[in-house]
Amino acid sequence: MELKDLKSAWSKFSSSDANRHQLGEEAIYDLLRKRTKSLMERIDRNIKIGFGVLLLLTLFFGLDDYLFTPLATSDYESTPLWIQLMEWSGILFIVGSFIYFWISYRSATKDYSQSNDLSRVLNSMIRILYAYQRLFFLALGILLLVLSISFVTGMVMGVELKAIELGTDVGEVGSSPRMVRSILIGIAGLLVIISLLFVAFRWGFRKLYGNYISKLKDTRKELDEIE
Amino acid sequence: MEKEFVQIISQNQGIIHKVCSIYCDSEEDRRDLFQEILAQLWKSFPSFRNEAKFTTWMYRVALNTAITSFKKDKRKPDQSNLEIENFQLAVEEYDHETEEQIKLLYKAIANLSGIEKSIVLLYLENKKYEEIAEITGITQNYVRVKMNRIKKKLKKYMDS
Repeated sequence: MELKDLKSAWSKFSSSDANRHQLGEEAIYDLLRKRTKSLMERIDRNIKIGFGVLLLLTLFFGLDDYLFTPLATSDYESTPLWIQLMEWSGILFIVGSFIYFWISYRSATKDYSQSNDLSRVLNSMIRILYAYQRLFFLALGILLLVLSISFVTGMVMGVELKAIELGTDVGEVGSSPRMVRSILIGIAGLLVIISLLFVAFRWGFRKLYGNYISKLKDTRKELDEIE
Repeated sequence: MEKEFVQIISQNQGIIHKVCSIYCDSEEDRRDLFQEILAQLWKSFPSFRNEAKFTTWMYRVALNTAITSFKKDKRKPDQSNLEIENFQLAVEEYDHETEEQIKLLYKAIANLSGIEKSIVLLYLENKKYEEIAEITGITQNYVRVKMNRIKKKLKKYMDS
């Protein structure tokens, strides 16, 4: 059977089907009022929330490093320069990532509209989803960075406090077998936590959007073959 | 603006129903897609300029939305078991032969990609290649080439 032979059957069926599903103006108003957010709108909302949370966290860690910790430890020796440098680079990394992320996200959303050509729609959607993925990993990176910096700072401060408590030299306490064992266990624990968090985030993102991104990319590939 | 939008959509809602019927396997999916298309049309309505016909623009938004729609992972339904009521004609128009042809057509169309479905729908709606190209954003020549391939593909499915 040829496709053109089915045109009349289609015409009969599609009119009958459309009539069966016909909605009145009130029902259309209702659907508009009760409409749920589309995927892109949900992503936009999540990105803004995520951005706000990360900004607040950065502020908090900045205040912690430069206000709360110096106040709490004013009786002790000042934090070593290398730890301060590590903290500054961490904050610089976070601020730089924010700026990069925000610029790439704005440029991806600027052009998005379902009334564009399909290839433009697909490109915008794929860019938005990748930006969303980057935010996911940026959040993860920041969390891991903060964890690592706090861990190192905690270790150093712990050794220093112990030395003050025992009235000995920092080097002596730091090189005792018990302390070395504790540091190694701490590092191993940190690595396990970092790996688990990374795997969980990656799995979660792929589970939610992996197939969808593949579907969009396949459609774009089909269009590219056309052109 | 909302009143104008609702009136114009109400008059042309057949387009959305046709797109939904081609892309959805179940009534639930169909309701979701209808709402999603309606939302996208409303969102894009302020940017609609009379450069294109309203129905052309409506087809474009509806098809783009259907092709890029996001469905949570679920098992692909068995195409031999698509919901029967989807293919039933109204009682007063009942025609057994038409119904059988439509079931066959749907089973064949279910095997096509999103872009191919959009081209078939527009072809079945008697759109000229020029208009199909305008709606889908691909060149007329390629619409012709693609249409020939789709016809062969569908014939193969329907004959087997």
